[in-house]
Amino acid sequence: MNTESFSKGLVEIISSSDESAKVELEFLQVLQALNSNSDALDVFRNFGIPAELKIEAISKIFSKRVTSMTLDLVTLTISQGFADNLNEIEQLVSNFIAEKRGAALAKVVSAVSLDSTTQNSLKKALKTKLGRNVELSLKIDPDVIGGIKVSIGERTFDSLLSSKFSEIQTVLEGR
Amino acid sequence: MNLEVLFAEAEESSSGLDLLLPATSELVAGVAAFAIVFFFIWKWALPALNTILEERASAIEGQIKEAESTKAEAESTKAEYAKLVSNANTEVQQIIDDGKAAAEKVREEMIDQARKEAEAIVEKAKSDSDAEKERLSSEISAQVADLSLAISQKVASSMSEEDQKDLIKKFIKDMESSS
Repeated sequence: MNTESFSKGLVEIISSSDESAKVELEFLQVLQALNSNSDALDVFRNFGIPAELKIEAISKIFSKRVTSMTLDLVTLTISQGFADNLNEIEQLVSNFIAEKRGAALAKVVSAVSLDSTTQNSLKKALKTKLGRNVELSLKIDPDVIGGIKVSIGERTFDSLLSSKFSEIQTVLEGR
Repeated sequence: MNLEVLFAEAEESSSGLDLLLPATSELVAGVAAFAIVFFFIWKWALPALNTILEERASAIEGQIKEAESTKAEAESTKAEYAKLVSNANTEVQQIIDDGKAAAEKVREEMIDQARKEAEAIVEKAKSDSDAEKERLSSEISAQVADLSLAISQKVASSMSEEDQKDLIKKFIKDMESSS
């Protein structure tokens, strides 16, 4: 089974849950937490460590923080050998969930968190521009210095200061 | 006394001329003997002597001719030698001339090669200089860029959260106005 098919399966399971909104949120947050932790990724990608031990570790870390459904989905993902594709699964699941709701997923990167008012303004602006509902996948990265970047499918709207500095640097070095 | 007796007897026996001439019988015998000896000499000894003399003369003549021939050959050889020497001198001169020409050619080639190498060195030095200038220019540009970036990042990093949010709001506003 490839990553895309597996992700679609996960979305179907999440959608069938009574707490689909909560499970969806938790599942994506767990994947984000794992993706941002290189030590955890090293452990889950290590073929020398038995899957049982990995699942046991996942249970110990998240059992008291997430629902049993979310924990089952995470352990299923690890036990099926998708530990190397957690980032891709996170993106695919987000996309499929948004599509299921008839919306496009916009991946947003900024240096600071966006309050709900700003998120709604952004959704509204994107809907006006793209002609369809948009759901946001937010990521905070202090390294971008300032500004915001929105990626929807193949389109990207980039006003990050780090990107502008890179462009300036390229221009200066190219003289 | 005895001597006087002898002289006197001699004066009494014969005259003076008779004392010089042989007796007739002796004379005839002597002539006959001479004739016999002459005959033998004329008949055998003289021809043999003539033959020996002729052979000797012939041999000497042959030797003379041989000497003349040898002399002619020597002169011919000498002439050839002189010719060879002359030719050798010519060849030597030719070799010297060829050597001079070759040396001159080598000298010109070396000078040409040296000139080309000198030009290449100058060209390379010029190229290195240009490359060095280009490298320094790039390095300075990179340093200016890094410095500008560092200053900008420093300034940007000190932005307040409010400023950050203003940037995002401006982005959203621009997006709305461009729709």
